[in-house]
Amino acid sequence: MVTLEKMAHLALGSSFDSLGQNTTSLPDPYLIDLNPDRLSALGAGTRYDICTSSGCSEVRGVCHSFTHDGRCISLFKTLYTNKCSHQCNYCTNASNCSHKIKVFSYTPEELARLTIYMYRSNYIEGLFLSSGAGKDEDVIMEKLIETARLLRNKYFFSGYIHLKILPGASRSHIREAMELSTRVSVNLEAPSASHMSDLSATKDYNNDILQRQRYVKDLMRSMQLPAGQTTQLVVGAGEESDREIFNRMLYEYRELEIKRAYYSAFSPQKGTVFASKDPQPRWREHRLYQMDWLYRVYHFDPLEIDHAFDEAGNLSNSDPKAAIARQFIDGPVDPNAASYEDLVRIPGIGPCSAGRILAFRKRHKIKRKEELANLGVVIKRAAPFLKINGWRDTTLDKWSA
Amino acid sequence: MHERCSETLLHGADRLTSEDIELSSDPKVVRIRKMASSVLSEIYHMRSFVRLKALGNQVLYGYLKPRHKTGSDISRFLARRSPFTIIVLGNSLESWGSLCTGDDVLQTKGGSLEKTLEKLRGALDSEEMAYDFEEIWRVYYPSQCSSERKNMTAFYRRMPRTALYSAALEVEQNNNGLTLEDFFGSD
Repeated sequence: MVTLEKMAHLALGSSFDSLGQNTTSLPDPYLIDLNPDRLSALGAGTRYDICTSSGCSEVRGVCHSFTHDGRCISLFKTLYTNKCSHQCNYCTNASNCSHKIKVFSYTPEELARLTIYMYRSNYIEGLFLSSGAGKDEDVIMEKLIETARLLRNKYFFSGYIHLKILPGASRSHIREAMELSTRVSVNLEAPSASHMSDLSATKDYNNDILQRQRYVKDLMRSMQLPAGQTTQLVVGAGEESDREIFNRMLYEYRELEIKRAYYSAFSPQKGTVFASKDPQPRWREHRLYQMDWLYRVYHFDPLEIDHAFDEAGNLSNSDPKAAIARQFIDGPVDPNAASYEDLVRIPGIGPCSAGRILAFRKRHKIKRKEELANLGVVIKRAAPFLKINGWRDTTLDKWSA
Repeated sequence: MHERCSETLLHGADRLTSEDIELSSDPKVVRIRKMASSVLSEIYHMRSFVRLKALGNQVLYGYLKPRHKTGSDISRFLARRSPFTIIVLGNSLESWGSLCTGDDVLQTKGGSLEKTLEKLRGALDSEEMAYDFEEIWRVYYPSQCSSERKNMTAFYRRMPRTALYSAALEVEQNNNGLTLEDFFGSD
């Protein structure tokens, strides 16, 4: 413990042996132009963009707040500008949207100042920056890159930066963006070119989107991008099936080596071409994430996951893992003898609880359900698939459709 | 440390390995596990939820009234995040100050937050920075919420009410008397 006076004296000196001189020049907060309409409009423009600050080895995910549906808010998510010449049928910023909105834009300096002060005040962990664009994507990409450059080089910001790569952005701009960012992403929006043509008349799926993802993958061979690249799809705006989405995601993970895929359930917006379409139920998004998790975290084989789809290629509103377990688990599993791969295939047992079971049984034999519950197993889901100490629970649920 | 932790319990926990604590079903060990989980949960929440204001360029301060004895840990974490800057967290009864010097984090403990800030104002000859960054958050936060996705059960599962009060999160608590409907303008 030290005294407050000594602490103040050291802080005034602004120089420590291990850190050197404090060269951070903070911007003047009085020069932050708080235009509430702009802040609100450009923030709301990213409401359906999904991101996370986790996945980077240098920064652990920190949620500074949550939205009213429990989604993490860890970043300052904003558009650079909501002016866009693309014609995306689901988007309120699209040029073919009849509900005209006021156009706003930041300057790179304004955005950098807002970000640095919100970061120091512990409201955010970093910046998520996207933008409307269209014909002038190079100009807008330069602005996004300039914002990141100001944060890194002028304000010595070492936090998280996620830059959106605009469709059609040049390879050199992508390189510059990757040099300054923690993560980059290009929004797929649709699982194939034919579905994309239903969503947007102006975006070329192969050239504007897939080719940019390939650039990122190629550049990552010679560059550090700590949190990799991600992508996002709109679910339910077109007529795509869940199987088509899953197959696209397999390609993205295997061939383009993306870190994560995000799914955003379609919600009709006033004035857009799709304004009269039905909204997608939230459970469809939830089930897609579960399916994604089974592949990415549980390392299920795609052929196993395929059994969760119905004849039309869609997921039902029930746990896909349970549907797969009913297909593949022939008889009850003994938790004292099962391998890790067998344990994680049981509903109610995840990687953490499977690991705990393996550690526990090195010292003790599992004799009761309560011991499994203590290790984090959800007994209600797991019990029909387990045989503990010669006894098994069997319920009609195991065979229910 | 947990608010109800005793020396006896600490002594007992010292003799356990991390594997013992994680796997055992002994009631005493389960109690230790739950207390550890509660403390870690508070540290995790408060690191994220505490909001800071500036006192000159050298000090950032914020309100914190933790349930457990975690003030110095949270203050130390925020100090590592902002080297060269004194972090002061506290409430009307006690306060914790930290300063990251690179290799080490210097710490101090004092009386009420107001008294500590008064001492620092004198020592640093600082004017309080009048800019209210909470105003930015008051506008930005509702822009991230979609009315069609509203699910308050999920919200309170991630932001327990105890955490909201401990960090005095006014915007999220709606302490200003507004209802949620006031944040969801016509889209």
